[in-house]
Amino acid sequence: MTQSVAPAEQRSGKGPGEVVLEVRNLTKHFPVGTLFRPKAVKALNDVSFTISRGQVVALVGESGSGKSTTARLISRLMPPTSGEIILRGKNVLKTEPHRPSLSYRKEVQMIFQDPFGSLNPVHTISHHLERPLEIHKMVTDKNLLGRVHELLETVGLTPPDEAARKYPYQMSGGQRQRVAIARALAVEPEIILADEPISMLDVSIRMGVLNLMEQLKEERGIGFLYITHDLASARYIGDRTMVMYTGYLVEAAESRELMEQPAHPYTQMLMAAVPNPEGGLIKKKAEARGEIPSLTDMPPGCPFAARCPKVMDICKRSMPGRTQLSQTSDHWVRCHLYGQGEEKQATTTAQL
Amino acid sequence: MEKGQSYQPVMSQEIAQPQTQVKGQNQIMSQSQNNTAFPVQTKPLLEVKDLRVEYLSPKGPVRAVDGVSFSIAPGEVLGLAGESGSGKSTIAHALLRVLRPPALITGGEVYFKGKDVLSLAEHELEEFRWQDISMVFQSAMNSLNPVMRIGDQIIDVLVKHKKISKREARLRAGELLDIVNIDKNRLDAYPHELSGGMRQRAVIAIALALNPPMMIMDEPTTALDVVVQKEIMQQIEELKEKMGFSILFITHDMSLMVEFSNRIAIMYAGEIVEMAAAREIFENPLHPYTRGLISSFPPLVGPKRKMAGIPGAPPNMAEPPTGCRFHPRCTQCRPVDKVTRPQLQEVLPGHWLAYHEGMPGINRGQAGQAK
Repeated sequence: MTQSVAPAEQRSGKGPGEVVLEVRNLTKHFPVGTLFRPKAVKALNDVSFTISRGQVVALVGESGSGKSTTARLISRLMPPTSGEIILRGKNVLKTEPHRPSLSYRKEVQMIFQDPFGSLNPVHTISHHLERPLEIHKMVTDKNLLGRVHELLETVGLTPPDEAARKYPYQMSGGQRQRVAIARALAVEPEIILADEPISMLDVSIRMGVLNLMEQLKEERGIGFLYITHDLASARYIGDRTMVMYTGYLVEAAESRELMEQPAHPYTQMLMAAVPNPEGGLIKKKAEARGEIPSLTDMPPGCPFAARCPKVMDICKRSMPGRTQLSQTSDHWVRCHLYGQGEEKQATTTAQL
Repeated sequence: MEKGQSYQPVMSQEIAQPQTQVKGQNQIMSQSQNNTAFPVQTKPLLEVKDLRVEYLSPKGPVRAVDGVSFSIAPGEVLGLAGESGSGKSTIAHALLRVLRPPALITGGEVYFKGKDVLSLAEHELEEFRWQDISMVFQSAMNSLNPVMRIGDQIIDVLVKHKKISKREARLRAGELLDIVNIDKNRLDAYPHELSGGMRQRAVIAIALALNPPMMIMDEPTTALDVVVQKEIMQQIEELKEKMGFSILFITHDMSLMVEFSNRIAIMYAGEIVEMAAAREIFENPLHPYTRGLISSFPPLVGPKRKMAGIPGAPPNMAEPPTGCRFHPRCTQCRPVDKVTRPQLQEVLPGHWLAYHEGMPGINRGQAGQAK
């Protein structure tokens, strides 16, 4: 029943199971400007993707491209301007329009970037884990502490009774991020939105946190939205990678295919820019110059046109629609280079 | 090297070192300036010996940098890699003598072109900073004055150090922006009117203003996106080739470091644990920490394989572990490592390692030049 919700081409061909979460045409415009000259920051435009059971979907892009906005909309910390969020076949923005229900909050959990800001400094670790268990009535009072210890053990904080008694300031960044993961796990969610979970951690402990996510994905079938600006870690953990630019998803494919055969000029540029010790410093003049367009007055056409080395006339006039490049890995791109041109999606975005 | 005999520790920033040899050193230095065949053959531009920096705290001193020695040749890029808190930035600040209490340089020697940096008086420091070594800080946002126009900030440096008129300084400031690929008209822009990448370029322009023989770059691109990072790093590379300055390049990003540096020193808990040519560090890392650090950066190409990272967490520097400071996190730890501190030694030609006799993976036989 849930499967029928997702258009066939959006389901990943192999590997992960059924689609758990789907977003369709998600759009977020923040109003700015004055009463008489209203403007909008177009933070997110027409974003659609799915996350399946046991699938890690990586979302990469520059800062300000709308990655975090995506996570915040899905976690329903703020309402989208338009679009649909569908969890297990239920269009949650219709059925619970004002605030997310308890069950939605149980199914979709979030891990924030800054483990120093996301834990309350005056409460113990055990308090942080007890609260979700109590609110969501996950266990009886008697089993509360046992469950807390179990969670701490799952995320590798041992001995658990000692960790439970600590305050956040007594822990390192990596340990705190593990607590944040344990807190998300407490309510046994189906989807975890991880917003740059490792970027504030010491480099030597990042892999530990990534490996933990991988393990949770495999053992519990949790689906992750992994938000990052680091392509290498997206490739490491992401089954699928989506590239975002100025609020548009411009390309998505299985991580491996995306990195090996990037189709969109922006993805190609990103790939060429990642430092790669295997290759040495490529002393090639950077091809693209030019600035990222302002999100308030986006030029018509493709937002990347100003920086694109392969820009054509049509790019400055209209936003391309999605072009499917490969069915097997569901590789699609949003670029005029790959034909098909102005689909109906392009016109819908123009209206927004 | 000639100065090796005067090995007395400097007890505070202000205690002066004997000055006698400085002049002779200078002459030697200027002769060898043009010889760019680095790393080892040339006379170093900067020499750091046994540097120690402590932060005073109510619970006793915290030794943030503990006996660090390295040198940088003219035109060379030395990368200083390590995690946050390993002492990288403290070294940078110590070299420029901009540490403020509670941080104190408690020992060691720093020579720049033979000049004893730790004994420079305040007015000499003014000349030394920026003229001899300039610095690019991590966050351009914080190192530019938000209420001053970009041009004025460059002019400030020029007028202060070069004693030229404002008009001349403005012309030169325009040229400097030109060098870093910013339109001259942006001289009158405020920092907030520039993008992050342009701001960082402007900071580099300021660092270049006096054409110094050495620059310290403390995480120059960490706050930037990869595409902009690439542009800036290429720009620095070009400028370096044109102007021939040396760079002390500080970052925690091993991939970028290997790409950009000639030589790399790996720091852990205030000490250098390994130092070698960049490719050597990447292809033949010997220290377990270096290996762990490299395996903390998943590759972008090639087969996908499990990366382990490093177990545990960086140590609390107020109570550093005994012996080898990495031992609580080390998978190859032996009893001797818990007690005695390994010393940095040259185990292969040009490859230095903090190392105990019989360390696994290191064959003394192959270590040709080992002492």
